[in-house]
Order: sequence, then structure tokens, then C-alpha cells
Amino acid sequence: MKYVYKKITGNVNVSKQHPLKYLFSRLSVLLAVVCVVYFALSGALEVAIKYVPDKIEAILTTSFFSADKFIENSDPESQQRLEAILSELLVYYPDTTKQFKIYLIEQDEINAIALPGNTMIIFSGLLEKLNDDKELAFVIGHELGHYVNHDHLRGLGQGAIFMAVIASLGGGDPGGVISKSINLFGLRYSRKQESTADLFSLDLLGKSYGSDQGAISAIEKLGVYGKREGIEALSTHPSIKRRIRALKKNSFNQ
Amino acid sequence: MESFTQLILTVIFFVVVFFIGTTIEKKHYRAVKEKEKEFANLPAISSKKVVDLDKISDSKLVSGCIVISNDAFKKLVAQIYNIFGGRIAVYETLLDRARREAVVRMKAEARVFGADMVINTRFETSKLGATNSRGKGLGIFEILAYGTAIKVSK
Repeated sequence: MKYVYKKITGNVNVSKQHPLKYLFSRLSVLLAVVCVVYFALSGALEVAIKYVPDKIEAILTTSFFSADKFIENSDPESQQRLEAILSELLVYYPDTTKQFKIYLIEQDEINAIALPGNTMIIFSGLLEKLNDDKELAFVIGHELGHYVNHDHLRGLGQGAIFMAVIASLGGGDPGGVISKSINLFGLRYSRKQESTADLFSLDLLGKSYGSDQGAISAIEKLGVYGKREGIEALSTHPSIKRRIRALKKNSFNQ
Repeated sequence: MESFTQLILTVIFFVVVFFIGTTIEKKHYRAVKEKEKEFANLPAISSKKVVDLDKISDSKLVSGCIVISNDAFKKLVAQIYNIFGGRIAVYETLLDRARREAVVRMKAEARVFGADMVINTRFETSKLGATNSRGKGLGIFEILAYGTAIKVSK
């Protein structure tokens, strides 16, 4: 028997498929499925957050944030100032049965947070920048606006949905593409929430103080002292310009 | 802002890795095909008995081994296959050229020995690199081709 070499053309061991094309087609299918699930769950959340009783909120708060961290209060004067403003605003708060707590935390951060369980956190950095009571009232009113719209629960719920969706992908998020994309969707929603809270605060300020003068100056100050603004489409908050424009449009004494 | 920049950077990273990986793969395929042609007259077959034992004048165990790794792009594509299923073409090309390279290397050893052919050719494969608790390893494979190189007395 003599061996004769015969060239074999083609390769049966390799499938003909363009990997880049495959990647983008399947990734977009995956992204679409994830988005549908994400939005369906978000819709369910939208309904659910309206019916969360205060008791459960309190449990949520203590399980996520240690309460004793807020109690330490080194500045009773500022604390009293905050409480005075809050009680003034609460007279016109839609749900008068709600009890709110406000805490001051010694931190240079210029920010305020609405936590579940009707607990507000004001950072001392913010307090220093906003020396006028009305400006501070606007910020507190803004946080109250988050409570009216249930944004504090929505934030928690969306975090949980996000984690659940990513976890359900099993092998993990390919290259982190899915999680980063969902993040971008969330930002648009976040900006809408901030605008709504702004308008609520403006209205509350007008009712409580008879004028809503502090609103625009508060936003302006935050704009000046806050960190440099990036592109609006990629931020959690609307741009300062847009916020001021919206406030001017809805202000009743201008 | 952050997540968007990260997303863009991730996409750029994988596209760049894809083009680099494709270039390396094409180059390797060219080299493998070249060498296959070079060793075309030295058959490597899987049968144990091809010629009568008394016709074999000399024999030697020959082996060719290659360690090959996947790239970040192949890994990413494989993750998606993990969800949808199907033939993982990116890994098929990886293992195909590794297998062929192993045979070529084995033949090279046989040629040095002066063999007429390699009989009883076998393949072995093993996974190298640490595998963590979640089953994620480095994606490095060893392909070993070995056989018996024989000289046939004419």
C-alpha cells in the first residue's frame, strides 16, 4: 500500500459564523429581554410602593442603615433650625398623619438624603452653603417631595430589581455590558424624579412662606458649589439651568 | 456619566481585542497550513497495525504539545453562548488550530527521528490554570498529540 497525500479543502471542525456579528445580535436580544423584565418589575414596583405601610418602612430603614449613626448631634442649634423649618413645611404636607425625622450629619458633602422610614439626612456641608432659611426650606421641601412621590422606596426597590436581574443572568453579566446599559436607563428616570420633587418643593415653599424666593437661589448656590456638571443625559439630576428654568416657569411671584 | 464611559470603554476594549485576536489567529492558521504542507509526505494515522512487525526496523514515541489560551473576546462570546447555547465557533477555531499545531509538532519530532510514518496517533487534552469556586478558570488548554514513529525497512 502506498501512501498518497491528498489535500482536504474546507474545515468541518469549524462553524462558519462571524463572531462579532453573533456577539452584537445576541447581546441586543439579551439586552432586550433584560429590559422587558426590568421594566415589568419596575411597573410592579410602581404599584407596590404606594401600599408600603410605615411599619415596614421603619424595618427597612433599620436593616439598611444603622440608626444610631444619625443620633449623634454635635450642633443642637442647627438641628433646631432644621426642625423648625421642617415643622413649618409639614403644615402644608399632603398627608398630615406622617411623622418626619430630620438628622444633621457632620460631613462636608453638599447633599441631603430621603431615607425610608420618613427619615431625612442633611449634611452640614449643605447647611453651611445655604444660610437663608428659605433656601434650606426649599431643599427640605425637595426631600419631602421625594416622600410624596415614594422615590425613597422606589430607589431601594429598583436597586433590588437591578441586582435580581443581573443575578438571574447566571454566568454573570457578559463584560458588564448589561448592568452598565440598565444604569443609563435608570438615570433618565432619576432626573424626572428630581424635577418633580423640585416642583413640589416650590409649591410647598409658596404655601408655607407666602413666596418661593429661596428656591432659585438655593439651586444656584448648589450649582456653584456642587461638583462640576457632566453631560445631562448621563447625570442623576437635571442640569442646574434646566432646574432653574422649570422653577421660573412655575413660580407664582415672578 | 461613569457608567456610560465604562460602557464605551468596554465596547472599545472588546472590539480591539477581537481584531488583535483575529489577526493572531489568521497568522497562526497560515503558519499551521504551511507546516502541514511541509509534512504532507509523513502520514500520522490512528491505526495500531499498518505494516507487519518484522518490517519495522526502528520505532520511537513521538509527541507534540501546545498550550493555547482564549482571549477576552472569546471569553465574552462564550459567556453569551452559556445563556443561549449553540456551537461556539470562536472556541472551535481555537481548538482546531491547537490540534493541528500539535500534530505538526509531533511530525516534526518524527521527521528528526527519520520516521516513515507515525502510527497509533492519539490526542490528549487538559485544562491548565487555576479554577476558582465559580468555575472560572484562566481558559488555558493543553493539547497533546502522541504516537509511535516507525521506520519501515524496504
